[in-house]
Amino acid sequence: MRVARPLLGLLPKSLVARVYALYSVTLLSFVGCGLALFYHYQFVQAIEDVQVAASTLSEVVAQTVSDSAVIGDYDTVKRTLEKAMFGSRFESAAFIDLRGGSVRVVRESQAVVVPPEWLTERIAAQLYDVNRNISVGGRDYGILRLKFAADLVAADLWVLLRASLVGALASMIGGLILIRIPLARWLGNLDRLRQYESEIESGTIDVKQVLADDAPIEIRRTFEMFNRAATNLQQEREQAAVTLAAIADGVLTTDCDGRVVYANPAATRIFGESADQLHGRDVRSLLPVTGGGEQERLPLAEWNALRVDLRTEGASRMVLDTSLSPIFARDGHLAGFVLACRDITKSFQLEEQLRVQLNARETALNALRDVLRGLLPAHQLAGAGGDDIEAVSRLIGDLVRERESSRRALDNQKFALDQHAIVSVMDCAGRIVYANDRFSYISGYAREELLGRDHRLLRSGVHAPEFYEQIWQIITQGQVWRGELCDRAKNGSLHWMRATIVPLLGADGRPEQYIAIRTDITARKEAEQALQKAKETAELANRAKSDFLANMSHEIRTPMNGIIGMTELVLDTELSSEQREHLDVVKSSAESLLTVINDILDFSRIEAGKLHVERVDFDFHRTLSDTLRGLAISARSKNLELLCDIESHLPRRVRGDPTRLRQILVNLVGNALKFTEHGEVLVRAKLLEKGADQVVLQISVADTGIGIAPDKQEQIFDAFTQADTSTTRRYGGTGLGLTITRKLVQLMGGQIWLVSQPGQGSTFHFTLCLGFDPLAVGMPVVPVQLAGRHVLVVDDNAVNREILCARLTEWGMHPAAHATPAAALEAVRTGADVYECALLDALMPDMDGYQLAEQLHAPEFDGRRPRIIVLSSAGPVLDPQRAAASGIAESLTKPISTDELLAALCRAFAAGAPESRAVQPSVAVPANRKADRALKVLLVEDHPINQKLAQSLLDKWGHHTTLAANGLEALEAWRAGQFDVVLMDMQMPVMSGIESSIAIRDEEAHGGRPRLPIIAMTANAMESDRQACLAAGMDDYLSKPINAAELKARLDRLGAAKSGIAISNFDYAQALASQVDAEILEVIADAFLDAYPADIEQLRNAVATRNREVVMRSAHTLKGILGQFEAAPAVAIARDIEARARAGEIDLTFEVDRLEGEIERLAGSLEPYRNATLVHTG
Amino acid sequence: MFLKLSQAALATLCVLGGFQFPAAVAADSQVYHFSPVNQYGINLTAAYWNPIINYVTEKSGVKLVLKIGRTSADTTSYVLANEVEFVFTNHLFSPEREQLGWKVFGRRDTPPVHGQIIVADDSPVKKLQELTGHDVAFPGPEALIAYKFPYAHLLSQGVDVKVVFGGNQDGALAQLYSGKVKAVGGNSQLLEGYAKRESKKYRVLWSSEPLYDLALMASSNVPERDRKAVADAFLGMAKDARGREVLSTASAAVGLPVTTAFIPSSGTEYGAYRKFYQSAPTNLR
Repeated sequence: MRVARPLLGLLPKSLVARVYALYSVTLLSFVGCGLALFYHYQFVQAIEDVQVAASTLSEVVAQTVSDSAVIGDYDTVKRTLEKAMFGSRFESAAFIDLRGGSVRVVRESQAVVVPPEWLTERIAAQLYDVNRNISVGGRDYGILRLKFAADLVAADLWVLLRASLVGALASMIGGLILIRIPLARWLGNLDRLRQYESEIESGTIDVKQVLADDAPIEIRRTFEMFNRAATNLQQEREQAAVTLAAIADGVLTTDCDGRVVYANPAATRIFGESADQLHGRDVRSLLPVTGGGEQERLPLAEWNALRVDLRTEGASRMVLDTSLSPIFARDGHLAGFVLACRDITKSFQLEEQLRVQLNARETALNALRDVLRGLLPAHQLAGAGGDDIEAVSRLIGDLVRERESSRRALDNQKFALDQHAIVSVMDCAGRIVYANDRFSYISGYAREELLGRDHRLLRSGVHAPEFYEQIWQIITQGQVWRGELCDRAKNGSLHWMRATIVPLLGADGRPEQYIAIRTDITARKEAEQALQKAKETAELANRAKSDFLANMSHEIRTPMNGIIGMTELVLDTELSSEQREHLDVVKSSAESLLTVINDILDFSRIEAGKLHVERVDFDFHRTLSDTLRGLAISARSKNLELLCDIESHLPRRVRGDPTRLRQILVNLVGNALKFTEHGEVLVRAKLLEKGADQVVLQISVADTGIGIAPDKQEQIFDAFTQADTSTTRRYGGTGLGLTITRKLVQLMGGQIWLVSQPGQGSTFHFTLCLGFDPLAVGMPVVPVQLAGRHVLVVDDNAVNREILCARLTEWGMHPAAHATPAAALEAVRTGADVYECALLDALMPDMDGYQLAEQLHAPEFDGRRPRIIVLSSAGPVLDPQRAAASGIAESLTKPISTDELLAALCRAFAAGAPESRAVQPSVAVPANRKADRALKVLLVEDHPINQKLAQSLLDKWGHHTTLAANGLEALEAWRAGQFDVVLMDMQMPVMSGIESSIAIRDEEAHGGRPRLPIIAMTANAMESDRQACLAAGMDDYLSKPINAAELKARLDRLGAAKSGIAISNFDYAQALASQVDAEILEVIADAFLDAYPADIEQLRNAVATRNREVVMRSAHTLKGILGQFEAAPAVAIARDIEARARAGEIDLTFEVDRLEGEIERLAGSLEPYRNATLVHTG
Repeated sequence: MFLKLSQAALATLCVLGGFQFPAAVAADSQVYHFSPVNQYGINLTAAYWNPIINYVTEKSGVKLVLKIGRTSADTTSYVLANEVEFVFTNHLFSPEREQLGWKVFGRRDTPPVHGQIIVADDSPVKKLQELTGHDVAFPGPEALIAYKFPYAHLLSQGVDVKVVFGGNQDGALAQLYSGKVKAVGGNSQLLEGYAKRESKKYRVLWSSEPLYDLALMASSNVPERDRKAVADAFLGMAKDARGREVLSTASAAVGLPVTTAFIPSSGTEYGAYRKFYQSAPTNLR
């Protein structure tokens, strides 16, 4: 566009001329381009034509020239060239031989038309010489060269171009003339429009008259549009004039300097001058301002809207609202202004009056709002619409009503409070400023006497001054005090008050007054005091009762201790049968009496809420079997089967109170045995729930006794209750057993219930919640393969058969159970299976177990004879010779624990052959056997009977006894002498056993004396007593009445420790590494590690079942094996056990524990040598 | 007379002023004509050779003038007519022309070239036999690698084609891509250069044994001193920085590797050419 701009200046002004010029340029361009294209095409064509002609000619000529050149006929060559040149477009033709000689022919004719030089040069530049080698048979003879005549080619082309140029020019001129005439006629209409300007302005133009008949339609429409616009403009102008004349507002139009050029009738009225007078006046001079003249200085451009107050002297006041609007011409320049004036004098005055009134009201309202703001909360004010008078009035009304309502409520509350409470108000100095009637009534002071007085007037003296200071401190800090206090009335009487003292805070947050609201609680206080007194009296009585019971227990148990102990001592001497019988009755009666006393003691503990259970680790299986074994004697005496069925997967090591479990079992099984004449008593234990570290077991005691009627089943758990009174008369008993049992079960987290049918028996079920160690070993690892072996079970008791088969099946064995010996014999004789072991019940109708064993020992069973284990629940002790003759490997006494059965089977299969083994009867503990080592015993006992009993026992066991009658004497004796052990009673005059023990331990610690074992001996059977003993530094605890065997075991243990076979610090690992052959270790270590738990278990069972022969054999075997490992301390203990068992001693539990400890230490050192896998059963 | 006086005065002034004209130019004003075979068309061939000739002139002191023929026949005709003294050609290895006394002193060191018969990449022709009876374009009757080798092969295979000469290689290829001919006989180096310049693709139907690129030859009429000066200038270009630049620019213009240079040659490398003339049909010798 920028380039084309200078050309615009060349444009003609006339539309006709412009269109004509455009046409001319366009035509010229087309003709020029056509000519150029034509020239180019002809040029290229001409070049191509002559080149093609030259190629053809050169080939033709070359052929002729070749022939002539070969023979050297250069004349023919020349003639040939001349012929070729004739009529051609070549300048010359030449043949040049290899020696440089040439035959050349030159054109003679000249071009008729002389072309322009530029054209000739341009063609010459495109035409090259044509060279053609003249070769024949691969040999060169020369070259043929043709040179073009460029002027001839150019002349031909020039003639053509000239003719074309002339034709084009003629065509162009004709075209220009042809277009000029119609263009001037059609577009000339527009120019003629200028002549009708006045008709257009007036809207009266006649289009038909103006336009030529053949005017184009676009021009005709344009004229019609002009005509319509002019008509509309005229109509609007007339309407505007009428409007301006009719309106009440004055309208002035001015020029751009503000001089009036038009004024409508209203303007002449407002300014009081005619239109002519106003014409030419400056509008600013028409609107003077009193004392100002601001408008005159105001530029017109800034005068948009202005209120003008025409307050002239001597004339009425006039207020005008004016607005000045600029008028712009089409080119954007300012053409003038329009001033509109409206007379607002009346409305302005009215507005002023209203403004004054409104200001006055607003002032009043603001004052009212300030008042309300002080009275009402902010949110209420905000919601009320602050600017609304009605809202403010409504708020005031609400406020008044609310205050009135509050006041009434307050009056009512005050009235109610005065009716109920004693109310007073104090000022900040504590002076009473208000007291209600009730206050006056209670205090006995008239209101006038109270007002202005200090509140200390009412102090009773019951409370210390600090009490009041504390109250005063609390309330002066703005906090509420609540509590009870005692006031003194005017007449000196005391009144207990439940008081609340509330500080009333001022605007600064500090207490201004205190209101005290009291209620008289004197009556309640007196009742409470009476109640407290009664409670203390009752507790005192209860304590007295408990103390009495404890004392009674102690006082009764001590002589009972003497009776039983002495009776046992006498029974150990030579007596006549009659004397022994009488003394047995004495002992039995004493033990029964002790049982009764123990029951009463337990019951009293329950009553006192002092019955507690322990949580210690114990072997559940062993505890159960040991307990039942103690009861087996009773069962045997009544020819009853006492059976035990413990699921083998029950945890062995559990946490609970074994003593109380034993007590429960003794009670329930004792009852079952007591109320059963025929049949059996079965104790079952099974697992109910198993948590992460807790199990719930259910233990059932089922009998086949008399049963209990349904209506009595609940009562029997009540104290002093049996099924009926006749029962008590028949079977005896305190009636406290089941009560105690239920309480014990509950304390152990379980419950107890009964299923019974009269005449068929009863089953007591109870559950126990016991802790257990999930990592503890379950069943012991056995050293022999049990799984897959066939076992014959013969028992007439179906329950026992079922129990045995269940256990055997659990261990992977194949039991075959038979109810009669005949069936069993038949099975052995004809059965497909060969039984490796037979479990035979000793007592069966028709044929007992021993007879069956003899039958099985007959020759006909050679090769099929099983190893025989007899299970005896009662009956005579088997003669060893007879047992050997019958092929009986072992005899077990019912109830048989799972462990016992397992151990017996292991022994039977480990023996390798079903050879007979001597069966040893149980041997009684020789309580009168002398101890291996005599101990120096300090016996501390105040009761003469107990002194006598203990001293007799100690003397009998060969110990040296020093007697002390109380703790102080004991302390002095200890200071003076050397002792191995102290047997310390707890309750003694002068100094108790606890105090004495503490003193001894204290002096040991400070005096550097070695620690002396102290064993507590007391009839105080409470758990707390035991804890007190241990806390005082005692080492062990024995309850009275003294169990002689238990005491002896403790002393023997001490004696053994003194003998130097205590656990040593022996280094087993060192001994193994340095003294034992490595090959031996590899061979036997694995087997030993697998087998020793069973060996220890066997030893322990043997001790428990008092089987000395097995104890000796087990200890002997262990001694030999341990010797292989050079385990000197363990060998020594095993040797000791063997020797003592051989000497008739069987109470060797302590020694077995020690042996087990040493073997476990050895096992720890043997673990690195382990290289085989364990063989498990079950 | 006036000219002779002027030259004498100028020579005197130069001696007095210690200024010398370039020795060769001053010593000998003989002008030699150098005619290369028109391989790329006149303009491109001139663009390739002019800088090189200028460099050689400047370097050797021997005045060389470029004389390009429109066709390969023109170059040969210049030789036959003794109108040129230096050529870049392979047309002079026939037994008869070797007797003209032209000697090889160098050659262009390029990868081996082949005589080839090609068709456009999208052509349906797959075998030479399919060309029977069709137009096949060649640069010209004198083109040894581009015409004589391929055409001799066609004849030996019994493939009768209509021969069309395009004047030079580019002319022949233009006819192929315009559809006027079915195939083209050519020099592999020129074919590749064309394809590279014009972004064309082609497919080779036949390719000759490898051949050396064209030779730089001098007429026996050229004095030994001038011939040697010109030969040294050509052969030393690659060792001179400006010479390398000239070669690089010129080679790039025609699609040759920019490292292309001239190396010495005794003419023994052209045994394959001479062998061709021994076995070629008579009309192609």
